[in-house]
Amino acid sequence: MINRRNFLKFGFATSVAMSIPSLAEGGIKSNLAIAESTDHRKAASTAIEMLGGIDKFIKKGDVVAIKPNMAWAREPQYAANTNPEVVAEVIKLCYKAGAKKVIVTDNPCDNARSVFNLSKIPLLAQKENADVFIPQRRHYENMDIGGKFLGQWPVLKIFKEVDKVINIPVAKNHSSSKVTIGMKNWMGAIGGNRGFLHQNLHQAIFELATFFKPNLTLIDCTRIMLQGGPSGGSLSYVRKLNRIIATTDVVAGDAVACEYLEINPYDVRYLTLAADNGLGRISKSNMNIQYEKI
Amino acid sequence: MKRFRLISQITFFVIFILIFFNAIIDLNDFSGGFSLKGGIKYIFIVDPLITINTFLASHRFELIYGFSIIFILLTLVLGRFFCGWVCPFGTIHHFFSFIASKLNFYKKDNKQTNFYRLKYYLLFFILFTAIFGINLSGYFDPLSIVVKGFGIFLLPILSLFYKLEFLPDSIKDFLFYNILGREDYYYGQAFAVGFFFLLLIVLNFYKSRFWCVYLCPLGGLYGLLSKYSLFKIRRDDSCLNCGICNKYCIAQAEPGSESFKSSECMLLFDCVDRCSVRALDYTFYNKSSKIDLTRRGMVSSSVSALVGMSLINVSLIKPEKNPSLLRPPGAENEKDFLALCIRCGGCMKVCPENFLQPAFLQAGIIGYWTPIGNPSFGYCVYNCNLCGQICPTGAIKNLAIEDKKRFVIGTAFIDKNRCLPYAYNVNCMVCEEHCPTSPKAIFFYEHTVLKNGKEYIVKNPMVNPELCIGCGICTYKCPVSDMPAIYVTSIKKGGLLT
Ligand code: SF4
Ligand code: SF4
Repeated sequence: MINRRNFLKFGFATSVAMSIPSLAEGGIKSNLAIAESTDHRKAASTAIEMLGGIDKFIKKGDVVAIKPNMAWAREPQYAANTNPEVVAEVIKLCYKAGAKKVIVTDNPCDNARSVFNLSKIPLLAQKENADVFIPQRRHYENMDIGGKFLGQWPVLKIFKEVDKVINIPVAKNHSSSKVTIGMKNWMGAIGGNRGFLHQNLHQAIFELATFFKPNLTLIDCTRIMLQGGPSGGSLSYVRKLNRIIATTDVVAGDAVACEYLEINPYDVRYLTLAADNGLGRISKSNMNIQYEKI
Repeated sequence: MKRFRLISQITFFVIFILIFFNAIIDLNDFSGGFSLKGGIKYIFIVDPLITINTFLASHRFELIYGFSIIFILLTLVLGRFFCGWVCPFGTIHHFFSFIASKLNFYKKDNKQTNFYRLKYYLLFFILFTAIFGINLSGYFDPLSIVVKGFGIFLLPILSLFYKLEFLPDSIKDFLFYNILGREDYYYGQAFAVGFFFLLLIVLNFYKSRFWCVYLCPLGGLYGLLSKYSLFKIRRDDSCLNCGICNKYCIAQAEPGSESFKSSECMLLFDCVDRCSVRALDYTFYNKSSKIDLTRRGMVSSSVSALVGMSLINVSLIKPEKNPSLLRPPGAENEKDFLALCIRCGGCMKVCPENFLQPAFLQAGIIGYWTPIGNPSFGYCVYNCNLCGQICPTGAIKNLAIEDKKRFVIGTAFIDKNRCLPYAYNVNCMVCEEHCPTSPKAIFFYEHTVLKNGKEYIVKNPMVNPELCIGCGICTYKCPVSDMPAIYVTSIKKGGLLT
């Protein structure tokens, strides 16, 4: 674990780095709402409210697909998957806004039945009347990702078919890509031989984040995994933050969550790649950050 | 009578199908751990051969199999009704025999042979070897054969069908949730199981119900019991000796002659319905039939059982030492496992990641088609204990999930010549990331390397044998996929981690 002094020094360095205004990112600022509450449902709904309310994103009659991070056969407290309460709250809000149907799925790394059971996301989602299904081959379709590295690739087509998409990642440390938050979450929405993508991982993550354009990203920082990611398995890796970040700029969201994970966002190649190519903003001076604690 | 028989055959066949397909992983209910919708045990409770033989071999007995007593008693009263009215394998044979006869396959007249005795000798052979702890019933018991044929051969075929592009989604969903339970079915031995299964079916085109008449040891057991059955087919004096009944008797029981063999009679009632003068009747009749088993045959079946067993036991290497002999979690020691396993393939059917396979010779000749885990086909899911839940004889113990997670089926080793961090100084970590134990059985040993004048850290994975349970997910996911750089062998197996 990082000791306290290093952490402080490190935190300072990051915030200096992040406050240098970047000309390349100029112009409009990205909105970011951070809500903190030990009631995680409350944190989620407040964050969305601060960003303008769910009605800004979901219209009456919309079919909504939610992409949590539901990849590992771990119970919620290990922070390997998105907090099920947060997902459930978002589903509830969508229905409140008049959504016709809300669908939740993911292509997990462990056995699907096991992940779907232990993550508790399907259980709570079903209670809120969402459709949850284990992806079969027929749910994928070869699509043109349109990247330099990724051309044709099988994609969970539900995320391209519906009216609205909400990305609900969890913030974790990651042994090969440093962090996995919002951008990397889209790795779970594709099929095929995902091991192959490790050869050019950062490029792949960037291209996938460009390809999937969610209408809203909610980053679950209620508990974050600082070590042993992505799959974790020990409570000593986990820190409780009780925060939710809501944004439409996934790069900005990831950059802020990076700080929570004690990583300098400028050290994460896919983030700089994304910022340089105009997918979003990495520098805090280009963000409008609101914070509220309830 | 024949009509009732048909109804009964169809009913029991449907029941069999329902039980078989209902023994499937529940993919809709995410609230609890891994569970099955039903079990296959109920298929075998009508099977005294499995019951007796497994008891002889293993000296263990599960109460539910006491149910087969009912079938023994019923047979002592009614005769060999099981074969004609209940047995699902018999019904399959009957169906194909019917087709064969419609297609005029039986040109030769239904001449009598003495080969029907074979099934009794086979029965003795099996029971005799069981005394020495070898459970052969799995290869010759009809119910085990159908369950295996359906599970190891038919399901993989259905899974190919499921993968057809043009199949409508509703059918795919039906197959996925109700029939297959997973997408991939790959078995190294599927062709052999299929060949054996199809061969037995094709033989019906040579002689109707070939298997039942000549080979089936369960039929033999029921036949022996029905020798003294209270009810039998009886011929009265109005018989014209036209012989039509003998001609239509599929079972070669010769109801129209002095030497009527009630032990062969499966109560198909073709004869009764054919007889123009109604000279045949199924009534109380206590004349016992002759099954003229020769002493020579009995002796030779026992002797061949002995010889066969010795041959098996002198097989060159000790199968227990085979590194790829990964038994399912819950299989304690090899000897008991072989005595209890009836090679039905139930565990392989439900194993959610296609880990369990019918063995080839990894477990020796006698372990043919017993389940072994193969990490190049799949891996053992950490939170799963389905094989123990479905196993009808307890060969795989039904472990509580917390015990299952600590049950050691093998141990992982790293091949440093192929493992990317060791061989090429690049970081990889796929095995560590997937290792499910907590704490992880794979940890990193960091060291610094110089590359292009720059220092950086390479993390070499290592296995902690104290924590590894041998689940094989590391092997399965290793990116050096053709010959994984981490592999699991059976060196340490059985028992729980402390
Ligand atoms: S071998 Fe493992 S994954 Fe397969 S059924 Fe048994 S416990 Fe489940
Ligand atoms: S076999 Fe591999 S993945 Fe399974 S416990 Fe051992 S080291 Fe971990």
